[in-house]
Amino acid sequence: MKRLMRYAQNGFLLYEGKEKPIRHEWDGVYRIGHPVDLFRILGFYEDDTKTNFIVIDAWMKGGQRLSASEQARIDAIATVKKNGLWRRKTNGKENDDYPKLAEGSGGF
Amino acid sequence: MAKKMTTTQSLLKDLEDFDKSPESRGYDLRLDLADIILRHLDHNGWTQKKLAEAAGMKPPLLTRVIHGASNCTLDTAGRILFALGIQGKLIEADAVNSPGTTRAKSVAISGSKIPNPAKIARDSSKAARATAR
Repeated sequence: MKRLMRYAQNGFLLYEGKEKPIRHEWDGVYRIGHPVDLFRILGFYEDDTKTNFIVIDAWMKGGQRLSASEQARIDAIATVKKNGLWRRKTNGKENDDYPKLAEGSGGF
Repeated sequence: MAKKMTTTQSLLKDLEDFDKSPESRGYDLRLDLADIILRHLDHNGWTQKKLAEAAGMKPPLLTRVIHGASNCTLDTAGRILFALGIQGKLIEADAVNSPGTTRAKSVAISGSKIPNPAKIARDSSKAARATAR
């Protein structure tokens, strides 16, 4: 959690890429992981500025390769992103009043 | 009746509690070191493999350091910073949450650029070759 907070504060981009904590899966879905455990957090960036990371799902990784069910869950996350299903609506209007772990510069 | 905490509030409370523990200081230093390495890898356009080779260490160990997962020694940290051409320093900063005091000092690793020894060697040999021509 402390690492997640730091990623948000320093900008997610610094930690994104091959062999880094944040990796792109497909269709704009990213996973955040750590080499010492199997816990993986899945989600996507709110927009192209990559300032906010929206967490949709999380699981314990089962093996080196993604299982069929894990791939299906990533596809489902991609659908959530594509259709904007994660956006909270109040009286039919979208609002940005989300619980946030941390806010940062969004860049570095 | 006490108001029920939301999940986010509960997570932030856990984080606050962790920050009051002695273990958090070491963890902060590891994350600081990882941040410095990542910034300079990007700046230099180096891969982790290249840095691991330059630092004389195995890539998996470097990956663990970069993830803040490995409790590496200060000597190992020094080798990595040296390979990047970075001067590492521990700098005191004001902090709170230390037991027994309301205000104490904390320490963070700070990296500043120094001439890269490998680059100096390369540049010297280039200059020597140019002079020879």
